[in-house]
Amino acid sequence: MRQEELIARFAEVANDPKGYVLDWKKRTGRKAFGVMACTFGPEELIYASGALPVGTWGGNVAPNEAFQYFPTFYCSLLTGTLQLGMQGAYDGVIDAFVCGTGCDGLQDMMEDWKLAVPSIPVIPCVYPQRRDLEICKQYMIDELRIAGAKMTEITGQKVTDLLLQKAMYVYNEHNAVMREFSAVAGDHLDIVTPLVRRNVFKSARFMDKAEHTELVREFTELLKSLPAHEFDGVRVVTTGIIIDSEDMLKAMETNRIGVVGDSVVAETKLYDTDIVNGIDLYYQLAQQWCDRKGCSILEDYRKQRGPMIVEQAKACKADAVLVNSLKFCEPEAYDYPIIRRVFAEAGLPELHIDIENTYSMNEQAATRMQAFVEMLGK
Amino acid sequence: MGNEKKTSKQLLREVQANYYEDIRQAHDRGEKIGYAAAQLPKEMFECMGLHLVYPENHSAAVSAKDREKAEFYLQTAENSGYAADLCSYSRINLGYCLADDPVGQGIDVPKPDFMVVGNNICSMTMHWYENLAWEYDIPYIIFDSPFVWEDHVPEHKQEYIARQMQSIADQIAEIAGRPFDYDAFRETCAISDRNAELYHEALELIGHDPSPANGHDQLNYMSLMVTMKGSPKTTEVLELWVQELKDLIAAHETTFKGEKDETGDAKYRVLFDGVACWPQLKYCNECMAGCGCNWVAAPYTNLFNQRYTDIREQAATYAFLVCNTGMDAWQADRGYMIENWHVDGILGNITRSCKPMIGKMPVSNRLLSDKYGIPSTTFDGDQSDPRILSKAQFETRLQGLVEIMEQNKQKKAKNEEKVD
Repeated sequence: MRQEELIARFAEVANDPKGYVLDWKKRTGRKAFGVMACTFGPEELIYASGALPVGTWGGNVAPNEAFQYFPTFYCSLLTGTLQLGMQGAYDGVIDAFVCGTGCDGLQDMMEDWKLAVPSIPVIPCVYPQRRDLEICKQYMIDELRIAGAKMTEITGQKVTDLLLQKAMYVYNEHNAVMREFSAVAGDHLDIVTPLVRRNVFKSARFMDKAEHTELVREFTELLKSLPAHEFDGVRVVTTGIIIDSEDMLKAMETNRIGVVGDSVVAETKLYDTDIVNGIDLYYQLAQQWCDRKGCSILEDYRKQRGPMIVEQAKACKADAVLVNSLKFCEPEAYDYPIIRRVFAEAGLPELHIDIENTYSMNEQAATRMQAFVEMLGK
Repeated sequence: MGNEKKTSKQLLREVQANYYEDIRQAHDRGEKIGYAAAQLPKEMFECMGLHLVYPENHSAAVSAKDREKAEFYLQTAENSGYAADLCSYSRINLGYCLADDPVGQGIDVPKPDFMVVGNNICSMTMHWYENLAWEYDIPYIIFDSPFVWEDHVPEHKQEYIARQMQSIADQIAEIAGRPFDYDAFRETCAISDRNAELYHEALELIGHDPSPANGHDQLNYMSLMVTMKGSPKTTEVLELWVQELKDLIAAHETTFKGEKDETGDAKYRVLFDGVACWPQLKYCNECMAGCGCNWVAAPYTNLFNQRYTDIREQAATYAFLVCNTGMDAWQADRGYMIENWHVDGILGNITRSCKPMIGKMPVSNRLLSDKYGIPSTTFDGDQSDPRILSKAQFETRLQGLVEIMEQNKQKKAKNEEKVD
């Protein structure tokens, strides 16, 4: 059955990104660049330079060697990604590592990578944190052009306006398809379990977006052809940086928690803002960065994330919001006290858990999920 | 008459005491008070007569003066949802604002009327200040310095920062209710440059071999560079301090009280990396002095000697603050001190809740140890959370460092004998 084949394909790529990337490189004869987590890296630019952008979001590894560089209590996305680099998991897979600096840990990551993984060069691309002035965009254009030139040095392909426009169309189309999938999936929580949903989003971080678009579009159309499922569990909007633990996602399913929408950086936040076409496409890329909102990584003194999630929860008919924190993730930790208050004021129940990206599961989180579902009377 | 007889330390205390009192009085007069991060072009505010509280400095003072109160503010913030992993300066400050319970001891400050943040000393300060701006619904000014991984600040980064400063001047004018005073700004910058020159000179003098001072003294004077960088009062204190240090060198004397070697210098000259443990400052100082270790070099205190004579230099200097730079600049900063100030060993505070200070430290210490043949060690501390430091670990690590520094000294002495 096609539906099962598609689900299996998303899982296959999500669980073996290396296999996918190596196959893609063999098929195309082109390069692949790692894109560091939490940076909203310039994927369109990478794509236009002829390389495959591959998200590097750590993994289920013990970062023993990475602790030579980072203190042991550091963010698991950083330590996990550095560990994978140090143990050779990216050798032959990515040909450069594109890194930005949305938090202090990412600055250290960029520098530590140069020493710890010298075989894979770093392409720095430092976005402005301020996004309200024209000069922010002018600065970012310069930064993108410098990074683009470094990409070309490796791929040998000049980033022309035509190639950048093509990349923009591919990415905007993928954004739209991912947003539609997320909306439709909420009506089919029997099929799109938390783990299936994660696999759709996770595979997107590694796959050629043109290929991923076709698979997701087909899956969404299949779902749309089915009657909506009456889900009797707790419908949640998830938020946080990443929710990747397979055990946690299975525990959500066991406890009848279905994901009807997300405000997760590694999921929908990557796809919620399109690039608008214009004369200077570098300017348009900078404009896209300035248009992003409602995310802990972004500078935002108006604190739009909480109200945006409340609105999203209403639109998705969610019963609650599930907040997953990574330990030592400062952008999230500063946001949490604010969004918690916004949720409370809006009467939106909230379950706050912390599951690391490195480790599979903590039993306490599973117990809290169970108690939360009971508390909501489901 | 009065000031002539005072020591720089006495004068410093007077100026510091007046600083908080002046802010309270200004608030009582209805003047606007801003909360500001420690490293940004504060001359823009000073020249307009706008009063700034520096929460990092304030939290350090709270934790140094009253540990119990510091813990109370930390817990207040944590009970409001702020994770214990977050910067303890921020937790004390947020707890202080949320608790509405004065600390006393002459260091209470009013609530902010506007927020001013720079991300060159720490990216996450931005979110802390955002939260207070949201909490009080007050103006928010951000001075964005992109991370400089290069060995210099490239033109496009300088341009970005300089152009932002124009928009910040416009925001300041709006807050102050009068046009931005460019003449006063440039005059204040000139004073600030002179103060940075004096402060730098003082650190160089402490780095003199033998050192005329206990390195911990730097922390007291550093606060002036945070809170009153563009003030003539700071010039007065620093000029006196520099003269005192010169006099001590000329007289072959030192204010360091610990064990000394045959030259009258501290037995071991140490580079202290990371932030000072403000709640346990006296303890750390006594422990180090007890082992004959003088803190002659500290990248932390060295953060505050920026000099500039025009806006591009100012933009570049603030962007190239060592917390905002790559490993090469980080190493160069420390390497200069190790070479020129004759450092025997490195003691690093893995400052639990200060990411900018610790993310590069483990590998940096290894590289510096290899390059200069000196030992390094670390301990787990924090800048202002009194609950983090383990005294037993601190003492054990310090003793270990001392043993290796001693072995190195003996080896060096033997080698010199052979040469003779």
